[in-house]
Amino acid sequence: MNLELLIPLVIYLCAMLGLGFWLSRRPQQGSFVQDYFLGNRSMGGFVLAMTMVATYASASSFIGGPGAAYRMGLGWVLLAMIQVPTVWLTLGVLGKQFAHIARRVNALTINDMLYARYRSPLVVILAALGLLAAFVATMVVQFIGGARLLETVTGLPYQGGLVIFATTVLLYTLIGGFRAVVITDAVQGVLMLLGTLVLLAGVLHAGGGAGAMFSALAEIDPGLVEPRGPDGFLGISFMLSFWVLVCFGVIGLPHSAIRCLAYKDSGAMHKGIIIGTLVGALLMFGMHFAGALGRVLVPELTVPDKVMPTLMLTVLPPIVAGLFLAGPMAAIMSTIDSQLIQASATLVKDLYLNYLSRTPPSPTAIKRASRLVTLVLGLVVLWAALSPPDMIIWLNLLAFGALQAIFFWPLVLGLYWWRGNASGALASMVTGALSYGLLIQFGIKPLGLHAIVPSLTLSGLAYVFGSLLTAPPTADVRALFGRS
Amino acid sequence: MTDIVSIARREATLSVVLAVLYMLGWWLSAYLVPPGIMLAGWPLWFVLSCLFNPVLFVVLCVLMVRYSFKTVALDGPEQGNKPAPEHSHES
Repeated sequence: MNLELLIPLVIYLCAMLGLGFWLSRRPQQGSFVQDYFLGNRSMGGFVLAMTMVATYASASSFIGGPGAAYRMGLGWVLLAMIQVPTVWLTLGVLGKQFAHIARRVNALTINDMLYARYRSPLVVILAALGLLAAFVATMVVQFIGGARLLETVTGLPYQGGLVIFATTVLLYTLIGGFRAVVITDAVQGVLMLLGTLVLLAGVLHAGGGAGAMFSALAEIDPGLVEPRGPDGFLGISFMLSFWVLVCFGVIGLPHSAIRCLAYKDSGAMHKGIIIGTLVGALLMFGMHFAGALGRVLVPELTVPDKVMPTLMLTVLPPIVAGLFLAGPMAAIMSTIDSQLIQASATLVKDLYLNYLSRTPPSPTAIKRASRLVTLVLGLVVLWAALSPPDMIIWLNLLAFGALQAIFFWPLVLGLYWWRGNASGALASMVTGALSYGLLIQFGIKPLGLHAIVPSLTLSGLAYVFGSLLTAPPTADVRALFGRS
Repeated sequence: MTDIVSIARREATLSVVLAVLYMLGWWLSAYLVPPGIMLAGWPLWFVLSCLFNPVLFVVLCVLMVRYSFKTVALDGPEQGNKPAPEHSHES
């Protein structure tokens, strides 16, 4: 076991836990539900930016992404830069309209918004189920990623690492709620950024400067310094699919969208766009560029996914490496915590409070139920991660695109097209989920495009035709969205 | 159409337009520049598409937010600046 690495990591985990405790001691504002699930809409610009970036940067961007850049070279850095517009797109497109309507109808979750817009319990229940399934699947995979990382680097056994890691995330989420989630996200975002920049500097230094490293890459394979990658793997339709999957489609991800409900005022949103775009661009560039250049320093990796931890151990002194290993850990934790709180909100707020409870339960009962649900969800995910079933990996691949296929049009067109109605939304969700699932399951790639492109097209058409063929929404819905 | 809706609409359009322009810049710099050309040891396409283009658009994004995005009261004209009261959305 590698103590020099383990100690800074443990200190880091303890610090996150302490932060959660400290935040929970602050006096509660507004009702418990609003405070626990939304931090009472008090997020400032910096925190908003960091939590957007940290939630979005998950295990895949810190482990899988650099691993792919290691294999594909600079072409994969080019692919990663597709993600630069995500923050301004998500906040700019959903931003004010979303926050404004959310306040008018007192919406706490994405499903509250969907209900206010479509007035259909079926839409809400479908959305809630889709969200739960997708989130549980991704959380399990994030847990596995975190524990594997601990295992690779510190030599801690898989189960031990998993329990330590899961306990920390669960505890601070449970105690501090959404507020703890976004504040720890902000700290973790800063850490990710520092870790990435230090690592990139270390890599460039160890390799004798960028120029020398580019020549070395070209010697290994000229494809590594070309935009199309080795053997032309990164073709046009491949890249185009990523423009949809990781740039424009991200507007439809519920865990990004929920952050549009929680910021304080329009000033916070403006600041959030600027800081978030800058930090996101730096992170994406740094991580993937370091991964691509890593091919020169550690050419013989059999598992490319280990390139980040391996590079850190190679180019940084151990104690610094331990500190910055917290970077990928932070990326993983900050994704899990936001999905955990949102999944709990879905169960408690959308399903239980709205449909299952006949009489409104007492505030204490809601409080207990909310925490209990967070705990149970966390434990279910932990249990699944202890002996990961194969289906989970398959589910995770599905989850990211499936969430987009389900939520994109009902959210975006729901905000900006007054004619859209519940039938359109239902048709769009069902079509999106089905076509995405089927195309992935059977490995069908029309024109070489990833399943997300055809399924978003189909679900968009379903939304438009479903809406036009049925009655327009009622007058009060139209008034809500600015059309009298 | 109420004021905030038209502001939000305009800002959403601007954001999408900026993203499409970014995509255009990304595409042109990555695929129109022949891969062999080097600039001080760096491949030119890489410098343009992965360094220059993102930096340019971060700056454009700052300009867009500073000069085109409007500060509005999100609570809307009906309710002033107080937090919304706890009412159910069925009403």
